[in-house]
Amino acid sequence: MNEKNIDIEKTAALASLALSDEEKAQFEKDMEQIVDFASTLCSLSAEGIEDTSKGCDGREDAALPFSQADELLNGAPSLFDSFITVPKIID
Amino acid sequence: MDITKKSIREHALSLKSKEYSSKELTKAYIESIRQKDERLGAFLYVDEEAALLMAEDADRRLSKGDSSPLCGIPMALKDNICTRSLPTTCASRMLEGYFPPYNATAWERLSLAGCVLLGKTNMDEFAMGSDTKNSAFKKTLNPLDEKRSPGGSSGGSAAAVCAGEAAFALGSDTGGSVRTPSAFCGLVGMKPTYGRVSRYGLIAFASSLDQIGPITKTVWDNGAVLSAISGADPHDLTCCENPFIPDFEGFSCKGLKVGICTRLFSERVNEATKCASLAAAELLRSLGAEIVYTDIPSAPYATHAYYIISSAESSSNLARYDGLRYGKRTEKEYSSIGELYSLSRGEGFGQEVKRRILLGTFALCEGSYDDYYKKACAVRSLLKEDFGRAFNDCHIIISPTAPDTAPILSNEESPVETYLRDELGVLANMAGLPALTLPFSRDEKGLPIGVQLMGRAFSENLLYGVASILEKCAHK
Repeated sequence: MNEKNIDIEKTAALASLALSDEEKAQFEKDMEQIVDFASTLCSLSAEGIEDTSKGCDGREDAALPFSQADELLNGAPSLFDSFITVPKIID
Repeated sequence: MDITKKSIREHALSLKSKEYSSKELTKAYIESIRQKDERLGAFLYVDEEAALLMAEDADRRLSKGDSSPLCGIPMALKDNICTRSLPTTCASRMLEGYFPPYNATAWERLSLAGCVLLGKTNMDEFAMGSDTKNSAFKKTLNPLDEKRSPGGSSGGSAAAVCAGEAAFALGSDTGGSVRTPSAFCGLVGMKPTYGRVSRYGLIAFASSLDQIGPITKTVWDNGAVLSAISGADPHDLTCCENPFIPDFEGFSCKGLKVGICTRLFSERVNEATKCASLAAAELLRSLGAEIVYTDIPSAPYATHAYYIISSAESSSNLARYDGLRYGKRTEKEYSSIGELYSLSRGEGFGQEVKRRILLGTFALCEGSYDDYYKKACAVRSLLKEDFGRAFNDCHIIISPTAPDTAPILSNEESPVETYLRDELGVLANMAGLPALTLPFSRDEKGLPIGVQLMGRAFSENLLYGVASILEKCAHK
């Protein structure tokens, strides 16, 4: 069985999730059990089986006019004209 | 009689005959919420003033002869269904105070039908959970036994209907989240065929699995609500053309083939809930149906595959919550845009959401993708094939809705133990099929037992027809 160990710090960084030390310790334990649970799938042979990742095929994904841009922008914490302002960040 | 206990159908008749007005009915539900909800915690937000205005509008329509069965009926929405006039938070600090700029299509349609929105109901954060205890804001109690879980993630919606705080509610169902709380609270809950109801305005958890569904007191009520919310929507490319039109009055069991899959009656399913489903099948047989034993060989892998697929999709869907354009932005100091994202998300999301994002991110990583995500998608294909073959031999499959009745609320269950309770709920979502629960009997503690009916795609009328027969004979 191809069981994997999840690297919590690396995975959290990929997911842009800041975790406290307590959370890291708790998630180490939780995720070991959860990944072990999910690893039942590893033993399944998927040879010749086509994946299903969608709920259905759906209609064509065509762009249509949209008239609510102003309302969307009004949800931002702060605006300048039609731009969302964010704090200045200098790397 | 306490009018808050009546069904939609009964209210519609009473409103038509002017026994009471929508405004009087709405006031009765508002009073019920005021008396009970501080303790029960079903609602996150209630807007009494707006509800009464909607009720007045409904009364004007009724006086002009509006015959919609939903006109003037007070209802509630799970708080992941967008409403312009009320916050939509998914019970998360990440969206605390967020007002969407648009209404969900499902709510828009109910509003056009004349429904009165009482408020938004509590849920597990971002619909991730089975007991509504993952809400960032409050716990919801089961009105039938306040030490017990109302189910999740649509527990607030189910508790509101059960307690007589709303005539019906909408929930969302990704792996049983309409059906489990409906079962625990003694109600009828439907997860429609994937694509039957528009997901526009349903804040996404797992986009290939999510569906909005009604939670009601009766089968008739459920069909009436589904009829109002279903049908084509240009905003949702996965939404199908066919609206649901109720056509199950006078249903007969003659010629019906009822499938039983013994694999779904595992050792984790409690004896009373097994017996209830078998008794329901036997009742249908006595009325002319034939019992057919069938199999879903891939069912034992369904829960594992579900948690990989749903977590993978949610890790992608929840990436939009970055603190920039809306939602929680950290007030701590940061030195990079990446740190702004991480801190905002770390503060905004609760523990279960973080677990699912971690699992989903892991499953999609190079090195894990083939062993977890691709395998889970293969299981999904196998489930669709297995159900397809099963439905060559039978019209519906009957099973328990959940392995047990409502458990005592506790924090001692591990995440995996909680996930395993979804084993009967996830099947229909993974295969895109409709599934309905109805209360059929009670266990030795007096708790309601839900029986689940699953059918072929777009066979909701058949499910409602069978359910309406079982409902007449149920020992509730």
